[in-house]
Amino acid sequence: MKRFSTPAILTLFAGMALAAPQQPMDESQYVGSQICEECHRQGYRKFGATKMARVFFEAPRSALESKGCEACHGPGREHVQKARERDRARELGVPYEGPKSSEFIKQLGKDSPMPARAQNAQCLQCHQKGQRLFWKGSTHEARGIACVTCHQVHQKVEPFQIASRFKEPLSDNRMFVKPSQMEVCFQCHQMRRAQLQRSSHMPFREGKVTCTSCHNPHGTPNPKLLTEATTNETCYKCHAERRGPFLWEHPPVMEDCLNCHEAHGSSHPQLLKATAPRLCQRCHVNTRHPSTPQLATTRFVFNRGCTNCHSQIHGSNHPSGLRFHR
Amino acid sequence: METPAMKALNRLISHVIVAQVALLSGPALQAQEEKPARGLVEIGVRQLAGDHGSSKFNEYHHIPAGFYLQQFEVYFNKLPGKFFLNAQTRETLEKDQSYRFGLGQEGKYRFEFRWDRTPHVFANGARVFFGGSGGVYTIPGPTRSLLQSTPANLPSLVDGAQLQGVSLARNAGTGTFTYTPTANWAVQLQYSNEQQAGVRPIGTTTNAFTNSIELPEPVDYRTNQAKASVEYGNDKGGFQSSYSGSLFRNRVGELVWDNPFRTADAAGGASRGRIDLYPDNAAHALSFAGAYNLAESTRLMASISPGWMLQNDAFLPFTINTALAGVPALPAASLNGKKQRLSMNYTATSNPLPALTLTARYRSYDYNNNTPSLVFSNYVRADADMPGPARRSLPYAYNRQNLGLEASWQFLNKHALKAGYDMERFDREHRDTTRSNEHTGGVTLDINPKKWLLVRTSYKHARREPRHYEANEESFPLGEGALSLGELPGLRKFDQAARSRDRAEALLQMDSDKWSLSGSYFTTQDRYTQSLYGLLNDVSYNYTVDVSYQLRHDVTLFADYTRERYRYNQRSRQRVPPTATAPANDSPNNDWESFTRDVVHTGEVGINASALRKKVTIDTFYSLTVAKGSIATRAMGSSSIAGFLVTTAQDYPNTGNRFHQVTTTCRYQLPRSAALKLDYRFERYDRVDFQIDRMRPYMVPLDPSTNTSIYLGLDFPRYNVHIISVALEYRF
Repeated sequence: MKRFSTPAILTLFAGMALAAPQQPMDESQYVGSQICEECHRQGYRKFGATKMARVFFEAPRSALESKGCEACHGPGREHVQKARERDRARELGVPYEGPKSSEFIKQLGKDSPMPARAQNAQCLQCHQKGQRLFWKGSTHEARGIACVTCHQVHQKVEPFQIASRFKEPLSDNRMFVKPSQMEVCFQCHQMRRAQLQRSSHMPFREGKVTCTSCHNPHGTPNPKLLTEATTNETCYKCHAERRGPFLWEHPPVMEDCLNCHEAHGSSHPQLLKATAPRLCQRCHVNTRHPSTPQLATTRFVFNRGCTNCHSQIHGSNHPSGLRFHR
Repeated sequence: METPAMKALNRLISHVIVAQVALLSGPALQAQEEKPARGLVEIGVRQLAGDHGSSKFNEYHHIPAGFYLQQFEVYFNKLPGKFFLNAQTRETLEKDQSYRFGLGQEGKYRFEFRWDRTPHVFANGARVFFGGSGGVYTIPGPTRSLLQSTPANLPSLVDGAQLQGVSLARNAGTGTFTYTPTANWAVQLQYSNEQQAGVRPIGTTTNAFTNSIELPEPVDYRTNQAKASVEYGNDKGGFQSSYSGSLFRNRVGELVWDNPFRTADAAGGASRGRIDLYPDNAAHALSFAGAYNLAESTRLMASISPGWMLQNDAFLPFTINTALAGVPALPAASLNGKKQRLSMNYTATSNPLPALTLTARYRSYDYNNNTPSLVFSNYVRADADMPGPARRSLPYAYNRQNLGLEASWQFLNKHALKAGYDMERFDREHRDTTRSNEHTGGVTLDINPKKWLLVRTSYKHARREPRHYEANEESFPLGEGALSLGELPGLRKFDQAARSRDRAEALLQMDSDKWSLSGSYFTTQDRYTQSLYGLLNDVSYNYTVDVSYQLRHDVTLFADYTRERYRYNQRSRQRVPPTATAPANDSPNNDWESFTRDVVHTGEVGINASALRKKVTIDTFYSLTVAKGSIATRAMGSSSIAGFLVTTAQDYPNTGNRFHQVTTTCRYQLPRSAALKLDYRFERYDRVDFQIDRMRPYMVPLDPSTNTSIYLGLDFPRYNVHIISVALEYRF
């Protein structure tokens, strides 16, 4: 099969490379987390209960992690100086006209003056690997989504503090801005919330599957941010029996489960996009019964329609199974 | 007047209250602040009323009456030596129970074990006319003799069929070990074992399709999966490599059933039927992924993943019918099925200017099918006859390549404009199109002019063009043999057809300290521009509104509504193939059209409130989903023209379903980390569906041609269920 020109692609990639030196860490600008605690006692205490704080404060694995609060918010020396100048002015009862101390620290969150990419850069100092390997250039990154749009860092939401309308698989990773992971996604993907309520659904509502069972919102090289290379490979994680190879294959099934199914929920049985026989008749227009409209009261329509007989529609390994009856 | 059930409930509630008082007065709660462990236990008692045995209500969960341990969680996060240990359970000891256990050393390693059970109930009241087990269904000889001589005895016999539940259960256990010797390195090993067992409905046929026999298909699957991965990452980039393997085993490889209407094999009809169930298979994949920051502003990312799918289950014979003469020999003992896929992705993304991101992507997914193409000189249709002609199995394969270019400009700190182009080249083997190209252009604009206002919009237009469309390429012999019409020349299968796609999306989010409002609009409009037959268009519109308002500092109201509308138009032609004595009837006068419409309304309204300094909280919501469907069909020709065939083009009855849910949880905070929870839930499900509402084992009143067919008579009954529970939640 003819391919796109590999040299052209490599040239394109290489042409985009621009050089810029990395800034070294200036130790003199760091004050230590204990200084932060003096003013930000409540935030410090909440953060202290998180897993990240336990690693930073008790088992740092790198120079950056050992910086504690300043690992994310940047060196705090100037910030502290300005805050103290302001406090001193207050004590003396004179107006403080200097710059705000907040201008000298990296604020993260919705009210931050920093653009999303700059905020994310703080998180990516440590979190570039794992699920974030393909974050840069991903759908969410390109649309200016910040890590803190979905995650909160300062407060661990204990599972038992959650009162969510959507159950989720058990997890000890709940650093979300909403009570559940699905509700985080529903902030923007509102239609999906409705689809999960439909009559035919996977066990989303029952807490057996969640958005990240299939998608990695941090970016993947795959379509639709899927965790696996294709839709079918994602479905095979739970439906391994359907992956074949089969002697008689149904080509649209082999190419894409979503040709017939709507994974997020459907009003039709088996998550189908439409009911049989009309779904099958979108392609099967040859002769005899597939080409006939069929009355609602016939065996071609009631119950499961075409699959009353063609039950092995996902593939058959029977020598007489070419029409998926066997 | 108190009923016995209410009395029992009252007694149980009293016991719970007494128990919580006893707990509160115990020494266990003293000085809890010093304890490094934290956790929760929630126990309670529950009573149900209504149709709580309904299969639809129990589809994926299990909510029994009586005492329950809803959840138990314990966290030891500050053990000596930086060790941690935690455990969680949910729906403990119920049929949908979940467990998670984790232990490790902070920043070094962790081990996690999960076990989860998921029920899937299809129906409670299947009428199973057969006996037997393990994939062999039998009917006593005298009964078969009676039916063979007088099929009209069937209705009285199936009325006495035993009622059986049709359900599956998945039990999945997964162990994961993660070792992070340094912040840069991570090694992970994972093993999972899943068992899926039970029965689900399956349709079968014997006697050249005159007997449709619906049976409970036995399911006894084991899937073992193992994964090993190693990863390194630093501020310059990283790499990941992994191996994953999955082995699927089906312990019931075939399904055999007695033909109720034949006691002995004969040409034209077998005494038994046999179907091949899913064969054992294996899949292996390697994955190599890497990213490198060429400079602070440029990142190159690549992934290459070869994979293999294998299947070599022994073939069953052509038929179980011993009376058929001239059954050919199988061309092979097994398929020796082999597929290799190679997934490759290359992405380069760069910020030549701080606010500008350029991204280029190339992706190739090569799905090679090296399964042998076998020639079968004939085949046995429904264990009855051999209609021919010779058939060849075709190793379908494809290669899908995507090239994408994208520019994203994040301007004025909070806004983003993105424009992109994507080209997809889809090469297929043994399908109607050998190649199609799809060009997609799109633009997105996200603006965040105020802290309280965010607008996201996007629009994409795509055009897919098959280079050449040749019908009849998907079977061998092409076009299904000499006395056949083959595919309708104007048919374009929608997954390969020329297509124009427009997709638009808008999201508006506004919020303040007191309220938030968001709404979205989404439409996809697919038009199959060169299709005369088949699916002609597929259009959907979706609207959502989501509001919340903080009435007081301790009272929040919320509501959301979604309207989804789907529209599909398709066209076909009723055709009669030629016979040895008569020509084909393939006239445009027999064209017909069908219009499918689905509308779904989903709404929700609720309140979260607290009082007495958050000692009392009340969370309640009501949700309703209403789905309506219609299929209208009309003949396009005239019945006055000779050879008119389309006499069954009629509108199908409308379908619909409604799902109501009311949930109210009242939580009263008791002293010392305990809380009393009162929970009420109401669910109601209604459905109108002409396809299943009238299903009975004997369907002759509806379709006289089914006089030798037997169905399970599955129904998915409506239900009303009330659930009330009282629970004690204790944090320690």
